[in-house]
Amino acid sequence: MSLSGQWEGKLIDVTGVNGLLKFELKETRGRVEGDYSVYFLSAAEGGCCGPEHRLVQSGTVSGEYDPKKQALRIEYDLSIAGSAARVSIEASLREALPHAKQALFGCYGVNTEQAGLSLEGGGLVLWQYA
Amino acid sequence: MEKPRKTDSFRGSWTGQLIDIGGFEGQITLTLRGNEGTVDGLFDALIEGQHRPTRMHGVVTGRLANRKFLLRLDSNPKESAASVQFEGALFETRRGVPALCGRYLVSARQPSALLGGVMCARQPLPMDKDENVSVRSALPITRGGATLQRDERAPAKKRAAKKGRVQRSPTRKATSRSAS
Repeated sequence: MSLSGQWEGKLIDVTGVNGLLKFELKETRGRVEGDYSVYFLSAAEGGCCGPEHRLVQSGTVSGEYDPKKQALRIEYDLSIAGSAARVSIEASLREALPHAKQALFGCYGVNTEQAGLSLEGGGLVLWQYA
Repeated sequence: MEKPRKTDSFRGSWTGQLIDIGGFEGQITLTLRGNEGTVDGLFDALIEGQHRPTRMHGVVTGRLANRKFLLRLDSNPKESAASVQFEGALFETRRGVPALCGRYLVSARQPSALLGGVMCARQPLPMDKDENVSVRSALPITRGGATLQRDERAPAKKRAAKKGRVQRSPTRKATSRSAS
């Protein structure tokens, strides 16, 4: 199983906030680098046309991958309403057939001093389909 | 400085969400009790994304040590023979609300669409607790915006029968219908 490539999935925060995630990762000898984008979903919307995607954030991610344990640890910086936050992800890689080729699933934490930020930490799943 | 740890903060009701790597999502409610070290309780999960939502409920057993949960969720055998191993961490939100997040794996004695995934939940906000109590106690029974007055009396026919007469006049019926 390879970590490099495109990943897309969803995050669920303990506050109830949900978001769509996209990662483009490249792994070389355990070192992981790439790009991310996240779209937060409004919980109140979800009528005929599905939830609205908003507050798009994008940037770079970096971290480490242990192929023996299939364990990934990456971080990225997020900015919401002028508040900066560092998001740390710990995830495992696993086959996800028949839904997808493989999946990354784990938890994230948000390191920030901003009390008003709605993200607290939660879970995420990212799938690689091809 | 680290916040003081509440050893009993895991007890009580938890609500949250889960995502399965098989492509399903769901909501989960946990009711946990126990002492430091051992945990037991109940769970109730509604998994969506299949042809129809699947409800699973059953018992929770496990342990908590150093803010790390190791739980086993056994579903009711009548629903499915699935067992979920959940490994997660307990933490507190910036508002001081206990929350948990972790990964689960599924072992099933019969084919299961669930493969494993993530689950996170939190206890109700202090405001939620107060609001629930006050809203429920203050909420009138309403239908279509109008408050219903519950008639505790027996139906008209029974009352009439008790008095020894039955209302048979269609005029009276029509009048009583239009009045209602």
